[in-house]
Amino acid sequence: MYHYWGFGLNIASEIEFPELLPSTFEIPDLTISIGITPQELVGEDVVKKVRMAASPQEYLLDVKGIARYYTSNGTNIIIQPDEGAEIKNVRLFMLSNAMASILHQQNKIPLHASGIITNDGLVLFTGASGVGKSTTAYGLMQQGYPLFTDDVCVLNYNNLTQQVEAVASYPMMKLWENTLDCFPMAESDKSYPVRSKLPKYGLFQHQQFTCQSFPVRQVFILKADNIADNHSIKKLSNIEAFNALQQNTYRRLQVDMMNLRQSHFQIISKLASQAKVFELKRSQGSADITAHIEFIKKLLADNAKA
Amino acid sequence: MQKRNLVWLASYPKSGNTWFRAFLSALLHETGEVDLNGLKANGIFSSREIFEAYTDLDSRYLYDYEVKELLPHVYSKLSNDAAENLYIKVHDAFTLNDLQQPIIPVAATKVAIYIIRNPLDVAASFANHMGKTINHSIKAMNSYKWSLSPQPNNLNVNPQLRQLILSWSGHVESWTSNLPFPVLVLRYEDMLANPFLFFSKAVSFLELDVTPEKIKIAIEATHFNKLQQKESESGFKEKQPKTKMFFRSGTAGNWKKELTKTQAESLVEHHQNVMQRYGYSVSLD
Repeated sequence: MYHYWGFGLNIASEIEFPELLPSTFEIPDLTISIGITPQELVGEDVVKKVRMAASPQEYLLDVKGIARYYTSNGTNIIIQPDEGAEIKNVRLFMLSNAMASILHQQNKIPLHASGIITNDGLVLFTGASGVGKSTTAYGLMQQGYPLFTDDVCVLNYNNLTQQVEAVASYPMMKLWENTLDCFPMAESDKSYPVRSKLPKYGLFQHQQFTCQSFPVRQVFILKADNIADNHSIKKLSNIEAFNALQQNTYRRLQVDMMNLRQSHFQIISKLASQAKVFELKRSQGSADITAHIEFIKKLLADNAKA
Repeated sequence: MQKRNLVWLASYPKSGNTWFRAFLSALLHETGEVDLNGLKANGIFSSREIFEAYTDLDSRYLYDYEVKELLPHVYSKLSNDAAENLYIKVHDAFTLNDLQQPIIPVAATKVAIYIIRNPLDVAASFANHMGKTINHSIKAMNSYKWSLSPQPNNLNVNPQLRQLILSWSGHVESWTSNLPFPVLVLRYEDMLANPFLFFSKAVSFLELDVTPEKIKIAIEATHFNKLQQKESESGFKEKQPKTKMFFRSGTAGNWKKELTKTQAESLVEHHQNVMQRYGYSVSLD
């Protein structure tokens, strides 16, 4: 078995995951094995969609040509790879869909967010896929801000400090080729496409990665804007922040299918009042990433002074 | 048992689809008003949000052929989950996926309305929409396998899923050639010239139980000048970033002022058969 740390969990796996952080431990929180998955989920609380089904404690996904994934009780994942499937593809959907279902089964909240660490604390960038979360974090990383996480972090409530904290997912960024090409001065390693024919590349960050949890200080909700010509920033009220954060929990379909909205309420409402939450609209017509990063750097500096 | 709740509002881009949805929105809205950024349609076929809400997959991790294989299943399930008609905008041509299944799920489809517009007028409007030259839009309209939201080398970063449009003629023929469900073809120019007659035809085809008075109110509320005014006041989220205004002129026959003779000849050369079939003059004099 391989032993890893990822998403705040000690993971024992029959499959090697170069994306995760090697670790040592006695008892795993999660075990990943190769095996035969159930053909379907059965039970009154099972909700079925297209080639996937979920109940509060079970999840089944069939990605044709790649693998079937069965997760249960927040502790076990069985993967049944399709014949001839490339193992890299098998890992990709395991780290996204299957892993999210495990966190949901554990009643944890994965947030769809990238993040950096500033002198002022942890800053997260959340928003829909494609809006620029990874690009923003990568751009700020090039400016010297330590990367915290890419794409996903996991929210926890610390009873001792009475703060909502976040823990990172795993030490790899995923960036599209056209984003990497916007940073000609950076080392843009294109040796690890996340799927063999997809120009999206994994950049390993194992050397500077932290497993530590941090209280969340600021959250920027990134939005693409077809109407405006420029960037605009707005500090959200607690209610607006709550709604925006709730909309950006990771794999939201699972949240609805597993009936988790109510249980998410407490931590998300605490986060909405604890952190400064801003809505940052970025004109879709603005292709200038440098200007976008400079705009955020200035916001971070202004917020630190305030 | 598969429910047939899907009503497709299909067209080549810039052919009146948004106007029709604005009309439908006003018609089905109690006050007869139209909210430009909340048009009555239950999404667009190329929506990543709908796709992901039924598959739990990040569509950006998928190759286009994988998406096209899943789409009929997604929309069949969407239809089954619905209690009433769902009006879905679609710019994709009616094509088959790699499994030789129609990407549009036939068994879940109630009817389709296909809106056609003179390609000579589409060209300038489409160029404006894309923020490109008219030569660029003509090249697209004449290309056998043209796509909206393309994914060159699988670069899957567009806000919408890739849409295979074919050529202008190919698009029209794909939606109007003996499909296994009823298709009402509406000419944009007829809707402009006699809106009450042709919108009433659509209403009757959709079996909507509304009075002629309501149809008149909806037509009035969605007059082109009013849509332009609303866009000026509150913007329009469906506008492309590079475009100044979505609602540009909306008139018929404007191509005479906007296209060169060579440009018009190129379109006629490629599309004369379909143009003539739908009553568009191929004489450029």
